[in-house]
Amino acid sequence: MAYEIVLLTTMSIAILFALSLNVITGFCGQVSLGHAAFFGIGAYTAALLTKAGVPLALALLPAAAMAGAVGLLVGMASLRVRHDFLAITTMGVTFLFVGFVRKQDALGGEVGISGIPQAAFGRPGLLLLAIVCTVLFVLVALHIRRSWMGFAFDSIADDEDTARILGIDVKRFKLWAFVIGTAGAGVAGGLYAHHIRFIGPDSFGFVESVTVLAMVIIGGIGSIWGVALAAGLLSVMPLWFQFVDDYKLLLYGLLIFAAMRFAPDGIAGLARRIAARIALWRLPR
Amino acid sequence: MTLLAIEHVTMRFGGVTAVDNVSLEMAEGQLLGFIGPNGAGKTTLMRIITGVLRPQQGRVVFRGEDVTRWPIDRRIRAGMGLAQQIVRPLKSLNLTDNVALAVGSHRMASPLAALLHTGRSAERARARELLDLVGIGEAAQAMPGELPLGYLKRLEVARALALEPKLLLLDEPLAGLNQAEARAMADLIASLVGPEASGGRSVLLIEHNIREVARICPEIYVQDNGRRLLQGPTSQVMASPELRRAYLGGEAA
Repeated sequence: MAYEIVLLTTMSIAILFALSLNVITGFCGQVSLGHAAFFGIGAYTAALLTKAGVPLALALLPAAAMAGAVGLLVGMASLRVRHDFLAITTMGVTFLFVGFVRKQDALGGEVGISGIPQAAFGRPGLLLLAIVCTVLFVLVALHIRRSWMGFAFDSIADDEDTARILGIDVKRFKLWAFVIGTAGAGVAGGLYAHHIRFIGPDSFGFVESVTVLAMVIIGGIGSIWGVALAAGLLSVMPLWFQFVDDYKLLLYGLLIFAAMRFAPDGIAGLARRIAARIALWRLPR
Repeated sequence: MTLLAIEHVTMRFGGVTAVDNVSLEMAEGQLLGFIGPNGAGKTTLMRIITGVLRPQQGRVVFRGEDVTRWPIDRRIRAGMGLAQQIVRPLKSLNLTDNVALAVGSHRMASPLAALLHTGRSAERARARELLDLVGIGEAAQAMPGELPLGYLKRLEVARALALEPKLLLLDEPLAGLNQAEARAMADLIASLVGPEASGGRSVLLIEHNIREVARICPEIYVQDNGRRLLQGPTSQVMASPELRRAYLGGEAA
């Protein structure tokens, strides 16, 4: 039972983390290679607060706010850059975060923060909290999709210049995507810190940013269910299979490559095409 | 009442002066034809009006406000609508949704308002009406990538109309249409400012199809080499020797 709880908690946190990036990259079309930094900001914020005696459920709110606030700043700084340039700019954010944390004694420096307290009701309590947060975020994402904000994001992801000609204030909508996405990552990070109960600057580096982007790409950029499925599977594979853990980077790299080459719209797109095929077979001839 | 005033606008690209000290006024309810030979700076002036380009000199006043420094989206929200010469449909959305986005553009005036609004059926219904109006209703469910240029030109017009603009800017909406289609589109454009149209809307029509421009526009503005050549009632402009010189070169016959 304990092992299943660990597996499910890992999956839930990964799904929340990937869905938060999906708002920025999938919905709004802004590729970010620095998402792990916001995961880290949430983790550090929540860990410091719970160590000071704040209950985790409460500490997740400032974790979200802190990550979202930095997300707003990064978003404002990168409003003028597009596409590949944005990817490189956001990549810099990860390095800045790791570099900054390493030098801060208050944040544990190179050593990191250990002895992070357990969530209330132990591991089952943490799992429940993670599931609640993830479900809430799924509901938020589903609502965005249905709302006019989702419609505006569609147009920005498609063609920013045309979005402007429709009267859409592209900058402000992008900032909202950044804030919602990075705040979600902050919550995921806060949960992660209390799952592992030890964090260091290297838990939130470039590799983690690429890993979460891989989940979004493999799941199908923009698809809530596809990304959730990919994040769930990819996060527990290293726990299930030792060789996956050993060759994690190689495997993720190959999967991204395969997705880009054979199914650029990821699992979600693949599923749609297969469903369309089956529908064709079923047609009376 | 003056809707749009362009005051002494100059736009240079490197050593080339594309628009040279041009002034132009448009009244509410006016349909103004805008013609000139290739390279006259028509599209450049259009881009200055919409805010794609910012002129080095002069200013643009729209509905009494100096909008020279405003970004495009703000000018659109203030009441401009643009159908571009080079079509830019949203390729991932079908024609209905391309237009529905414009119909509901007021819902996206702020991200928060947009987040609080769901439901698109009213906007989609209106979008289908507009697609019917420009004559491409049968392609309402098609994706832009599946359609020929003539359809996409009309999609641009439908999308601009969907914004319900006070000032509709049309950059060669008849290009790519055959004679009958061009005539129908010109009639549609004329009806937008006619007596039965909702009051106060103005149209600036850039077009190479001078026959249709002369047929529907009561007044024409002519630009040549980035400069204002002449402006006046259509019959006068069409009869003027300057117009012939601009198009044919040399002395008028």
